Amino acid sequence: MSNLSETIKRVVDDRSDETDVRIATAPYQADFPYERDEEAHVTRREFCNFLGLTSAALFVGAAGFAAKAAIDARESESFAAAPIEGAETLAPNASLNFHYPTERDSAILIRTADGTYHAYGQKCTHLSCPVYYSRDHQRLECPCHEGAFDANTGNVLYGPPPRPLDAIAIEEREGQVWAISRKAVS
Amino acid sequence: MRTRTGSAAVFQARLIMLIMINVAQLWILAATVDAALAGHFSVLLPLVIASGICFLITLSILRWWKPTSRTKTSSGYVRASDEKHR
Repeated sequence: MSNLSETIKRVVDDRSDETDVRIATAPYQADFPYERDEEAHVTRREFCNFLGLTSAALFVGAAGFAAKAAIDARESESFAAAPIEGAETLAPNASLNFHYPTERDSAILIRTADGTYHAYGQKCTHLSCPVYYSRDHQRLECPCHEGAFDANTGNVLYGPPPRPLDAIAIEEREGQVWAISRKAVS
Repeated sequence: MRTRTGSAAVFQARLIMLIMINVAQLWILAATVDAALAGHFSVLLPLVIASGICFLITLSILRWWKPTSRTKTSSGYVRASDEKHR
């Protein structure tokens, strides 16, 4: 009994390993045998069932993603014009992040070296990584898979993106820059 | 004593086919994501149908593709021919 108490004390007080735990629980193992190895064993039938579930999950995933994309594309969005805060103080050859048309839609405003404004959706058209404006190269770059877009047009310069960035139409009204619409370019 | 090599081979083949179908479905999912992000909506439906067919094949393999020399009993799978020898 004292031996068990010592073991429990050592397990609780000191840093222990699995051996100590096994020693401490040995009396209970005799009454309630528990085969760890057997518990961890996966039968071929269980593995086949797991593959079946995986197949169902992959099908549901593909169907869900396709359905969401199709529904999003069909929605005829009406855009309310919104001012882009801080755009008028943006220095040439610099960029500013904003959200348009909703808070969930990230976008990027670029003022090129010649002073003109261009705005695009910030999601890369390859796998939706956020693009950033590279001052040195004066283009939009995606850090995930090394894609790049033209800062003046949003067209793909190189890399895996299959289409240009979403174009955001902008307008200057009384010294402020406004975003007025957003559309995906095919 | 009878060998069970034949049924083991069938189960092995089932397992390999299931794995191959899972890999194919993974590829289809990746292609679906790519197509949706690229705005190629015309290929989405064929991809989903292909994934659905793969799922149906998986189901059929799991449900019906069993070794023909076996019958199901309360104690598991037992050869029908073995029963005669008892």
